[in-house]
Amino acid sequence: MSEARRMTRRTLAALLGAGTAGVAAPAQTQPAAEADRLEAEAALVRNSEAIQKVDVPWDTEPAFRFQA
Amino acid sequence: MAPLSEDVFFSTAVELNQRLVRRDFTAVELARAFGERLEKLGPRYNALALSLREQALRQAHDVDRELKRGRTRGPLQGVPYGVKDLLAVAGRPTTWGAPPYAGQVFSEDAAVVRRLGKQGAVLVGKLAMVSLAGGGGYRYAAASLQGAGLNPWDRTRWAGGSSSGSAAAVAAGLAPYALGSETNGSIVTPAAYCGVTGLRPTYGLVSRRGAMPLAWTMDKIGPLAHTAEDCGHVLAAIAGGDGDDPGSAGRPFHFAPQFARAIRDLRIGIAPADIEVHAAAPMRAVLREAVEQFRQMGATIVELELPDFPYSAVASMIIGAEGAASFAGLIRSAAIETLPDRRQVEGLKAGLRITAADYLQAMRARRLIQQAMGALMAKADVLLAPARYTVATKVDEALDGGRAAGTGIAPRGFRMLTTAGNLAGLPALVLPCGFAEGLPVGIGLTGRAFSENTLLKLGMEYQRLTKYHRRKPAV
Repeated sequence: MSEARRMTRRTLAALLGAGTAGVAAPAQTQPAAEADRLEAEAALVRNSEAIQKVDVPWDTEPAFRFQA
Repeated sequence: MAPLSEDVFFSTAVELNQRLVRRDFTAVELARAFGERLEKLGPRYNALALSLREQALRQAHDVDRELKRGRTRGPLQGVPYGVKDLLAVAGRPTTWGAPPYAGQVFSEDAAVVRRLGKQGAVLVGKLAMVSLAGGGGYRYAAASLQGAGLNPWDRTRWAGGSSSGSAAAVAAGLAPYALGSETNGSIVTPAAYCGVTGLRPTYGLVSRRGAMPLAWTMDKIGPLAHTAEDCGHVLAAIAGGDGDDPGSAGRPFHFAPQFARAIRDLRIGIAPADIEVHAAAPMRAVLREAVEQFRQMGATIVELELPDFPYSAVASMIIGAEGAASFAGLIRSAAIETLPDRRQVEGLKAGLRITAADYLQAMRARRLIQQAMGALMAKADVLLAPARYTVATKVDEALDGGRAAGTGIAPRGFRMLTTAGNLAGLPALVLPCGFAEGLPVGIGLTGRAFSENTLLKLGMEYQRLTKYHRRKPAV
């Protein structure tokens, strides 16, 4: 990731997909890693369930064109 | 040159610029003093990512030549500052606080760095941050390339995240001001924990070109400083439209609090439960005093509360999905395992499994939140609430032990205002308002979109009447 380049947010985003493979992973404790994985998955489920409970009118479009 | 006195390091940008213009010292002397102090004391707080002292001395030399010719550029000219290490500085490492990017170098300055350079501001260093601005969530303060950001008021406490180094550097007098960024609390939290003034601008007001993208629809860049006045000057320098930032609102910002509405004409919304129920008991007297101060300043205080939404779940879904898209390459590589926080590693990986339907449902809910916040802000010009509900946490304390989805908080008050404000893109100003258990307490003002001058006017008047922002830790 040391190559210099012109930078926009788009190029930054593309950049994030490149050049980071091949770094050695540190040793981990398997049970602890599994617990973290399960916790992260559980958080996704909780968040999804919480959002599904919001009463969203049928004609509500996502905030794609987000302006404050 | 005689060493600069200690008071210089805790002076505001405006004061330092006035002394430069008066020739009390030169810009080179000032840059050298702050640069040496940042190098010496920055590591004490794990606040320094990269010293730029030599580059700063060259910039300062140019400023001195300009000042000799009588060319002035405004209150930031010749004044040193630092930036969070998610902002690109041409030709120098920009690590995003994460081991996989430790050697990353860009060829151009971030837009905000370039804009400050045009004002004659002198960049003395890059400041530490939580890895990837906390994307994916994290369990421990140590989730950073430099280690846990330590609080200058008590090094057993966290500086807050993710703009840890920016806040700690200002609090410890290592830089008069610094730039941070906020996606969901990353300016507000460290400003409150470290006892400095922090401004989260309206979404789209400040260009993010050259800044690490975490969540495109939520990322914002703003200043941390000693005073609201300095925040205003910094915002004026960095704000403005930018065609290279798709989120840019295309609006300028002119720092003109004198033209904002009179304080006596403002309605300030508070929720008593914030102080009497949600805030930690030792903070309550300080927070009551802060509310009373705003009342005495002439504003009308009205009682309100946030509308009922699962703010935290909505924000987590949006930041999780956008962050996973932004970092997909990293997440799919072995390099992800080098991040220091296991919870963050698994959180980022989980983000790739957020469904499109869930993300879009969150964005639909966000639309409703924006509308509801608009309706709330029709009842008050400004919402006043604790910036954080505890003082700085212990540095080894788990940070993810609280409620996950942010639902079921009763009474609601403004407990989730930081997240609600970020989802709606609203500006916020954090002011030091006292101390509890020897640690700073911050009060937060949230305003309507593009109402920064109103917030800054209130902040400047508050800081004229109180002196908490002038307190300094024993460094």
